[in-house]
Amino acid sequence: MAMFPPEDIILRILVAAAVLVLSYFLGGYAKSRLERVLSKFGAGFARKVSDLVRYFILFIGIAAMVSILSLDIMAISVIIVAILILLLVSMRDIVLNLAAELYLATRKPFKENDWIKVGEIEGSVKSIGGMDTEIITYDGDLVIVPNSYFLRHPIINKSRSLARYVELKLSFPRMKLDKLEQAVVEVLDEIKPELFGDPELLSMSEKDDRVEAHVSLPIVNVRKLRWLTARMAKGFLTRGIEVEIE
Amino acid sequence: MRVLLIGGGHSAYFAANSIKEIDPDGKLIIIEFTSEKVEVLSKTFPFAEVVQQEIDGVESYIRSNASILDAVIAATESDSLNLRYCKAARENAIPLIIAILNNPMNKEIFLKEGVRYIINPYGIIPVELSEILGSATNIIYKIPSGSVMMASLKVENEDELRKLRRKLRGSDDVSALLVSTSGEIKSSIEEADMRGRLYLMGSEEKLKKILDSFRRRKK
Repeated sequence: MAMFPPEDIILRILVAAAVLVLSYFLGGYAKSRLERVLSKFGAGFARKVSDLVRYFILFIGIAAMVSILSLDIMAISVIIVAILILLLVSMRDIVLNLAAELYLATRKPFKENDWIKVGEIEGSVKSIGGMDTEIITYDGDLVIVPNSYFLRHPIINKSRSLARYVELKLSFPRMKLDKLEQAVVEVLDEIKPELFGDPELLSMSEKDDRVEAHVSLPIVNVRKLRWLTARMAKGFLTRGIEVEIE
Repeated sequence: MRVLLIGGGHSAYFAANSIKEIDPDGKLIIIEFTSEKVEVLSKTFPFAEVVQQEIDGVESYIRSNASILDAVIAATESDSLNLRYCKAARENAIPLIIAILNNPMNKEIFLKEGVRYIINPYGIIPVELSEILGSATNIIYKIPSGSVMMASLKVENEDELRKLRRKLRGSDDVSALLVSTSGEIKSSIEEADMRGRLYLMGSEEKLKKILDSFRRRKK
């Protein structure tokens, strides 16, 4: 501090700002280099360590900046609290993901290949990582869920039973009930080899100019649902029956 | 259910017959590597679709059928191939993956790779030997999804039976059946006052504790 005369406050602010900018870029550079070097230990681990180093360098830069500005204790305390709050807010997701990782590792609410429902997402667990979990949905889409999501939503593990019972609504426009029942039974019979047990015709009713039927299909691989509905639609079409499946 | 069975050896033969019995209407696809075996398998299992594939082509078959396959059973005569195919099935999120082992020592490797259902055809040897030779305790079966187990204990005197009665009294998660040396069967060990073999079925956790304390007493 001795190299700056007390009245030269502008110069001190400029040097302090330069130190802060330098530490910001240095932190970024150290992060990218470290991430590359540590990647052999796993991407998640490399990211966590390099983030910590980056924040440490930033902290040193801020400490140097405070020292250059020669602020009093009160001002330093206010700055430290503000930085801590800022850090906590900016690292909120990282902290939450780390907490979730700990939760998943100790509580083990599901395993790979389990069928789970969490929030709006339902599917089969493909892999459980340090930061996120991969889930394959009904439609075969791969959803990457940050682990912190599991802390905020209740997890339903449906893996105790091998089959899921999927209910479908079949609508037959311009059809009469008496002509349809046999066709529905036949089409369900055709897809039976793909199911885990017998498909069930839950209900059939006439509404205005259409017939509505509800069926329940026990399916092991729910990704085949789209394929099955296409096969059912084809089955009805070959019988000259138009159908809409929901 | 659509099941892919890989292999055409002895294990696959038993697996194919069991699948037919369990799910007579299901769709079974068998993959074999040689054309001669494919021909034989087609005749032996007319209910199945037998496909010839190169050893290295099985993974791509799994990948391209992943959205419609319900189960993959790796039952070739090589554990390293079985592991490869189980890994491919896992990567493609097939819901049910089963490996049939050739060498029981490889079980740990399959477990480490995340294969949950591993059938060890040799596992029956120690169980049968223990029953035939009358070992003090014998774990007969653990259900694959865990939590339930069946075990047997050799009861040699009234004191042992009394202690077991005490342990089992009031526990509604373990059932017992006593078979005397003369072959008489008693479903309630409260009434039994004979030597023989006690068969227990129920909670794995509880049964393990009973077996441990029984073994300790025997020592």
